[in-house]
Amino acid sequence: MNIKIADKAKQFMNIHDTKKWMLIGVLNALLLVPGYSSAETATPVAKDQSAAIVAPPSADVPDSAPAEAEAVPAAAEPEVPAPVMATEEHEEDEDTGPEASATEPSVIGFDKISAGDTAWMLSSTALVLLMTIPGLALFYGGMVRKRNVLSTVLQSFAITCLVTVLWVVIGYSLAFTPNNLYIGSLDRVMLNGLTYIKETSQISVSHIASTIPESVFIMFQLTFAIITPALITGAFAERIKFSAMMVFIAIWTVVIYAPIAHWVWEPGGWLASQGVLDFAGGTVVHINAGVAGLVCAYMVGPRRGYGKEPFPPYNLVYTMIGASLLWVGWFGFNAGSAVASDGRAGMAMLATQVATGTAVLTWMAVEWVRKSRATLLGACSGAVAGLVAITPASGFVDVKGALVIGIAAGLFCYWGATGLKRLLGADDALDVFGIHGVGGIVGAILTGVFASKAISGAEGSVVSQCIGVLVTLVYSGVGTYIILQVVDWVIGLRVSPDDEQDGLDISQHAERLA
Amino acid sequence: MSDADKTAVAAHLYVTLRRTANRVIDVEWMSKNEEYAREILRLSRSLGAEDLSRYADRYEELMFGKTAAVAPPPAVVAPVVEKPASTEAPALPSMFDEAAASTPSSDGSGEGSEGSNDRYIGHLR
Repeated sequence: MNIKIADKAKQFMNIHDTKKWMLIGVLNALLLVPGYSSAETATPVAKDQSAAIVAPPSADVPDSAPAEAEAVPAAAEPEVPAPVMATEEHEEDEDTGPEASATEPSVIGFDKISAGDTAWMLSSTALVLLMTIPGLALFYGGMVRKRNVLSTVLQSFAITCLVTVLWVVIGYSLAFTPNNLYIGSLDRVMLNGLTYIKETSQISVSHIASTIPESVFIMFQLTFAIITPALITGAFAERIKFSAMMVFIAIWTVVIYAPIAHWVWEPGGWLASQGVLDFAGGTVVHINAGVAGLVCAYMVGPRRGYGKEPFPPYNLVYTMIGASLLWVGWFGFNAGSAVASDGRAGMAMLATQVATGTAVLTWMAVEWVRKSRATLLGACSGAVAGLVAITPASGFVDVKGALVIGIAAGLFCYWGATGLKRLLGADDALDVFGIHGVGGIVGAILTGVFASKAISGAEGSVVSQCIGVLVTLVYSGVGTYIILQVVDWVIGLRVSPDDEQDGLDISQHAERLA
Repeated sequence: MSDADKTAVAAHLYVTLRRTANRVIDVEWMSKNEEYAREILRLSRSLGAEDLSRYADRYEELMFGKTAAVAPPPAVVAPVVEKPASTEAPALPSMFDEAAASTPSSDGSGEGSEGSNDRYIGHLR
């Protein structure tokens, strides 16, 4: 039955009528409801609206069903109606039926939560947070000059705290609650409605990930919201005011990140409805951060002495440690985006490893050809390039696809960090656009080429992927420009030339490396 | 006075001297070698910058006490940017000597030749 519904849903994928998308939303609901009450569809497919519309592939059943059956015996019984319990705030919606409730966060019994999925998502969340602190902090900190190491590391740390607060106050609600095509509702402001009642064994779940507690889903998505703006800091490293950076990031997270996350990952979002595939954030995280970083580099201006004097990295061992932490954490990022401990998560993990290793080898080979040597920074850069490019594709492609994406990432991102950087003329200090922007674009487009129906149940479309890329480039680019103009007008973006010469560590934070 | 106090003032001298006169000093060696410290203080005052003179006075007070403020300069002038070849010289490069601390190859090997030419100029990778 699911397959028939899926076929019907796919017929609507190319119809741009609002009513049709509303129908697709209802179909989503029809499929999501049995999705967490039957063993056959026990694998929730968060962030993958196309896969949520079509039936999960039968190949996943052997992987997920035993774990589900062991952890939650009730979940193995087929044809059980969805356990959507109306909370007080949802009682008014009872007349719309349980199917409609599945398109928004709802409250279910403890017995419908998968212990295996929850354990994996808790682990994944910790892994993704590890990517930012200390992974990204060390990765960036090792590449700047000694006088700016502390300020660079502090930026990642402070953003972690800032986005945490913003996310629970409003970010999660705007990104992951249904409302319209473009933005979520305010129903979950201050996480209103988040439920855990031990006495009645009730717990709230997101409609996107119905086998794990909503609290875990909120945390998981929070770690993505943290690392995205933290990536941008590499573009304006060594010359931005700390206060301006904090204000910019706060606005950017709410105004840019949350809407794009809603478009792509909320099943009723605009780009999701266009069939754009983004398994773990190639568009939402990397293209978004990459283009924002490029605009920042233009707006803030080049560092004093850029292009005239060398800017030696402080300690590339820090960068290698950071890149390694990013690599390990990325398994939570990509495999965790399956939102289940199942076979698809395993495929995502495998694809991630294969693409990354391939990209490192490719980058080093290009360096060898062009400079007659391979470098540690090049290897670390190749790793991040491969990880970025495989991110949107990880849950959709097989090993062959991962190999090709890894090679493409190594080639294009090397060009992005060298030739394209010269062409653009911006002082993108740590090559945020060259690696995250270019890698994200390469990965997004190749996802459309290599998406395997056998793995994901979804067919890729290069046209749809290009639409997703272009929309993100334009919205993030223009939005970032406007925010920076406002911040520049109110606070001022750059430190004084003297402060820049002294280094941000001492001029902005009165600290220095011993 | 504690070494931390002296180091804090010397750090200000370091950044101000680098900014105004493009001179690099060894902060650690200043606290260990009075002769070197006196020469740095003389240099700082000779530049005529108000903040440099203020830092020099403060450092002199911390290191030599107020009575030493009028002490005559040493007969032997120590070089500013070169470390004394004494066995007491610190084994590690100055904590502020960014070029020495962070340039990947400063040992004169083949890799260093690239580092001293165009490596890291206008690009990182």
